[in-house]
Amino acid sequence: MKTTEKNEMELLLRALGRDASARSSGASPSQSRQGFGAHLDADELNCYAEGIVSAAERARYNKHLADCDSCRRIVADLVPAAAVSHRHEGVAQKTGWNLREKLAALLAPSVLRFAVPALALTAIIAIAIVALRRQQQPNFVAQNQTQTLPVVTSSGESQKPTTENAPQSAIPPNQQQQPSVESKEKTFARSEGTEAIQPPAVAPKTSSSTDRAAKGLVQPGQSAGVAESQPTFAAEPTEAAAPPPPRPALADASKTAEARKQEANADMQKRRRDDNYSQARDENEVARAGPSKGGPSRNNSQNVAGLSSVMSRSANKDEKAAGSTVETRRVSGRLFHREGNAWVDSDYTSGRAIVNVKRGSEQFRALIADEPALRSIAEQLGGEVIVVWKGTAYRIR
Amino acid sequence: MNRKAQEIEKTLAAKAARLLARGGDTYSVSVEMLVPRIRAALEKYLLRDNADSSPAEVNDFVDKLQVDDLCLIVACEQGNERAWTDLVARFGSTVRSAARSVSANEEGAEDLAQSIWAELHGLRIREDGKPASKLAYYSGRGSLAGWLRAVVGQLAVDQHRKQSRLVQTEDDADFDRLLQKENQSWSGHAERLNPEIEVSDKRASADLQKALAVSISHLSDEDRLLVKLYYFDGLKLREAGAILGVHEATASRRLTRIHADLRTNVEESLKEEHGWTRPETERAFSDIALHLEADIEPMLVSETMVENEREMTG
Repeated sequence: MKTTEKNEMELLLRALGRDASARSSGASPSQSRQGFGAHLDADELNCYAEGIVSAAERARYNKHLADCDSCRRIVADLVPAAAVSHRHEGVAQKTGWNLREKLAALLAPSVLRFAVPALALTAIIAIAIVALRRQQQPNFVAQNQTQTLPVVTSSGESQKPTTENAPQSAIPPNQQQQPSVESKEKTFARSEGTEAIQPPAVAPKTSSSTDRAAKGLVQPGQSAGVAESQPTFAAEPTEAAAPPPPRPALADASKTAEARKQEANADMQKRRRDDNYSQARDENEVARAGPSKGGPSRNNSQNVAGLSSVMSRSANKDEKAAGSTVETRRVSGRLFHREGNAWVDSDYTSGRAIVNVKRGSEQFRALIADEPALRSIAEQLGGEVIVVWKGTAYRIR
Repeated sequence: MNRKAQEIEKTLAAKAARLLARGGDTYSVSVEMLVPRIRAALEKYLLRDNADSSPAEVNDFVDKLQVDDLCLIVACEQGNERAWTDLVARFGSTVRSAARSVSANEEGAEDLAQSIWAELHGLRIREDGKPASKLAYYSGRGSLAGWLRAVVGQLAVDQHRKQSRLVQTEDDADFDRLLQKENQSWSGHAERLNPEIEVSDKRASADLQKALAVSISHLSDEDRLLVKLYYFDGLKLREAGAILGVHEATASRRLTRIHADLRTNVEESLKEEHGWTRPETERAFSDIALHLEADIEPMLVSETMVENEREMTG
């Protein structure tokens, strides 16, 4: 059909419709009912408008509606309202899902297609975070050792060897330069053996934190002190700052270092057994006296204490790895684990000399007055607490 | 009662009991009250077109009934006050809204809504002493809200007819004049000076109009309904398609086909009844359309403007 013909038909039909509607608006009810049979009742009109009629019914109603203006107008009003109601019902049904429908919707393939990869990704991220956190524990130990290494090295440079100590030159330079934990521990072992380590060439800044850093007792929780002490050591042109030698060269060295480490461990354990309560008290007094009063021998004892702390940490690390179900708590930056009724500092090793302090006693009051952090530990943990503080182990009951 | 009817009765009773159990029996509607309503709906719709419906079809039909609404209406019929309160509370706004949409003003809408509630209560008393309420005609097949809207629409049409009958007696003469004017403009040649041409064109226009009306009446019911909805009632294609249950695009394609069918039928009718040749028919179409274009175009523009204003304000 040509466009022109279509337009002509369109115009003719419009004109016819206009005339018809003008006539029907003036038609009486009797006229409008003529020839169409009975009108559709409200129920039929509603069913038609809501589209719930069969094909046969629809054909019957179409026949009537095509000729009955009034019914057609009612239907024309009902259909939009019915469509709105259907939409509302659809929304209401969606909001009124029961549990089963919700589960079915949750487990639908379209949902699972995205949910499963998302869950897997979340699980991987969670595992990675946990793994990283676990790795941070040994890192703290290594960090502390890194801080203490230049002290030893520098002191080794500046010190004058005494009678018993083995000469520094006996140690191969490449082993000294290794930044690994093993070599550092080995260095400590040597220092332990000599007992003649001098104060570090870098002068402490009078703060107790620096003093603790010098003793290797800077704790993870005391990051301010560590951060303060790190640049001081890093600025020092020690051999430790030199780049590490290639791996193959370390193979033999590490074996000897391991052997020496074991030897040093055994030696230190023996020494610990020999050391008694008075020695621990002396060390404590040295710590309280501050660095200004510390002579070479005191610094030596401090270094020994720091060494023992590091060694005990490494020993505890193995213990922690063995028993992962031990209840632990971290207070004032120190890690405690539960042993029976007591909270034991992870730095504490069994067989170590220990100072018994009773809560409320004069000694306890004096101790917490000097060391407020110990007060915090004792209060937070409660009960029996074994804590290693500045090289001295205390049993607070 | 034959065997099939007995089967249906048995099915209905069982179904009604199950539906009541499912609905929670809010208004103490019994199976005996519900079964007659379901049977009436079944006979009115399903069994009318297919008297041999299978039990499965009967079950399906009954399952799709709006049982909650039907129980509410049955309870209202029984005079349950709580049911009436619920009916007014749930559907009062629906009735008011429907009344507003068919009334000229708020006052008329309020009157119409009140009339609806009076009709639902029943103004007359039946032989059994119960009020003759419109509620008896709700089958439960469609939604109760839709049924109430339809009742409002019917009552509005009846009221409009009564009013227009009164108005018509006063304005009859004016309306007749209007019709004459419209018919003159349809011919399109009322202002021509040559009486012969005027008479000839007028007759051609009348023949064409008559042939078109006859062709429309020969269309199928659905096509005729579409033409009426679109050209006579002034609905949009989307609205007309929604009534017919088809998409707007389908309605548009159907309308194009109807144009072609009507053109062919009109040409054949003019040729057979009045001996018109094809060129004469084409010229008549062209002349009338040319005039109608000039006549209808301003109307279409004004209608479009009014519709746009209505959409903006609405």
